[in-house]
Amino acid sequence: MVQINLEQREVTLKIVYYGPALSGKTTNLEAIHKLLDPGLCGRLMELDTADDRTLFFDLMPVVFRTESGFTVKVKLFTAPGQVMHDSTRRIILKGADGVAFVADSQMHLHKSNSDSWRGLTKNLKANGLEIGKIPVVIQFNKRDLPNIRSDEEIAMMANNGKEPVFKAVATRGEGVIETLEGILREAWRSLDQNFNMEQKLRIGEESFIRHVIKTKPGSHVQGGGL
Amino acid sequence: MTTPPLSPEQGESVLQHRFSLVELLDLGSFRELCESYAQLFQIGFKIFDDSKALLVDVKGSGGDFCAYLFSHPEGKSRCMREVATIRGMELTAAGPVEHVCFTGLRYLLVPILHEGSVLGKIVFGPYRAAQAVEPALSGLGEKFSQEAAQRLLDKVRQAKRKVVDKVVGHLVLVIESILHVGYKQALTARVHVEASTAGYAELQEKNRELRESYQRLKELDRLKSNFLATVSHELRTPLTSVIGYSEMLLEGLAGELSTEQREYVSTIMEKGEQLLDLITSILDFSRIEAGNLRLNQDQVDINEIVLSSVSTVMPMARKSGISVDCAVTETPLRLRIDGDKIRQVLVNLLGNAVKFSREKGLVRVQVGTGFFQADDDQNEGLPAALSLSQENFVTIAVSDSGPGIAPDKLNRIFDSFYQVDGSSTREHGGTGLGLAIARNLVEAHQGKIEVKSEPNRGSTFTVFLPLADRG
Repeated sequence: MVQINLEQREVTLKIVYYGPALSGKTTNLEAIHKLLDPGLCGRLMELDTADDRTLFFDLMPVVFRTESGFTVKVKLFTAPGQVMHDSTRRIILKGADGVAFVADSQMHLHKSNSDSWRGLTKNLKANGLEIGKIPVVIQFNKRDLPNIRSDEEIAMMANNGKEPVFKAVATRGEGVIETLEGILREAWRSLDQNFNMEQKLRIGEESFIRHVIKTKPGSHVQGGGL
Repeated sequence: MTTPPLSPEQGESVLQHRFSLVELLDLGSFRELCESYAQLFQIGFKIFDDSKALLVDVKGSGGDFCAYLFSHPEGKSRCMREVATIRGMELTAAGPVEHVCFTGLRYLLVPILHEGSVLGKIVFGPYRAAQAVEPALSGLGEKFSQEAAQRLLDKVRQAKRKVVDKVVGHLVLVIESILHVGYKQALTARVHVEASTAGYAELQEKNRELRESYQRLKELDRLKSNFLATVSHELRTPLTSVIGYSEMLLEGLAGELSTEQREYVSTIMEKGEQLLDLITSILDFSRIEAGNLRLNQDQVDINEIVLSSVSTVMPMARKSGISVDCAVTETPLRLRIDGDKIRQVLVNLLGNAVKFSREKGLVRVQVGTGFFQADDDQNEGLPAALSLSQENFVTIAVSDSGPGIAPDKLNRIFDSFYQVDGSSTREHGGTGLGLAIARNLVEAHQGKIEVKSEPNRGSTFTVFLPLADRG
């Protein structure tokens, strides 16, 4: 849950990238790190093993200051995807303000996507959170690979659900900023509703989004939303 | 299995903990680094954390000058006022602030930031500004020497602000990367500990569930054995009457029987006896399972037991044209055993041997002594040389010339109710309890039963019984 420290005038939001193993959560963070203004985002902390698989989590903070003098920290985490790290996933999800679920678009990985989603539901519950109540967006990553779920199918399924859906090729940085923007909007709206963020920080949703998603001058980002 | 919720007292996630400088730095090695940095640039500095505690204090070229001032009471009090002011200055993330001390020397105050928060500050200095003329110091007491002070002041490193900014910039970069590593380590360790704790709690929960279901199963098993024992007993009582009255009829106690009647009554009696054997086996087995087996042990010559067992199965062997070759030892082998129980084992083994031997086959019984290494729990994990319980055993081997047992079935034949040929059209009858009972009875004597078999060549069952009582 968002940490608001009025004395130190600090607000910390936590966004978790969740999804099955090797679906590209770390790649999302790496792309964001490359695309965002280096003056805003801190070092990307990756805790991976030799075979490039996340052992504990990755963390990247994006910090900005509002005109009213508040320091706003948006901390982006990835949860480890491998099945055995379930307790770590639960710890990472603790106090999350939003979840970006990174699904693998490949047809044959449908089951790992759904298993991971069920795990998310269970782990949120263990933290006293509920899947329908916490802001969640879904990203279909690896759109450049063969044998993937079709755009039409994804569009149709997205229409039936309430979670915003994005398409991405994280290795090329496509769609990652859109996904980030999507989850930030969802998270902001939910927090504003519960904690009156706009009044406390004296910034609106658009201003919040513009502050975080300040891309590096000259970096080209392709759209990935539906 | 339900996942235990994270403990409520950990309301704050380990990942949201706001670390202090002390938590992220290894102060000892960090101070060494600062010493070396101050020597390199000849400018000292102090580092305070966000609670204004002094963590690092390294002297540069200004050390002697400051020490001289400090040695005079008025100088000391002015210095201390200056330090208090600097210490109390609140810095924001906005950037460095320059402070000029009463001596005209300068300090650059730089915030130490981590993830946008101010964790502390560096007070870099004193240094002399380039081309600045420091004001003459006065009012510091009679003993204060202007010349001496000036000599020491001249030794203080003079630096342009641009240079100072650069040097401090490097220092900040070094500190930031140390903090990054420290933060990474601190988070990893905390997550690791929390994940292990959660994993441990889950395992405990699972263990508890397993223990409970094990207790439940054990109780059910005990109930089953009790049930079997009771039912067998209740079945046996009326059956004894059926056999008894059949016997009386056959003996003509109720008048002469016709050939046909005699044949029918004989069948009733024969089947009744079969049924009685079966029930007796079940009763034996359920007693053993329920832990109610009692041994009436006595000094017995095993050869006598073997010979009497062979004579029991001889009529059946003769009927099938099977010869039994029995080799006992020349001298008596006296063992402390329950003779009836061991006879039951041998009769069972011999009965099987006769049952499964081909027509005109041969069953061999051989009594001997052997050396046998017990593989009980106390020897687990020990090399043979360190194992206990190597003892002399009496061996009784029963070999048949039957079809043998397939290797994959060999280790199951002592299981209760197991039949090598379990089909409904099988050639040989039986409950599948005989060998299970035999093994239990032998083990109750601290012995062991083994089988070796070669398909189409026959099987050999060997019973090992200890020569002397164990420990």
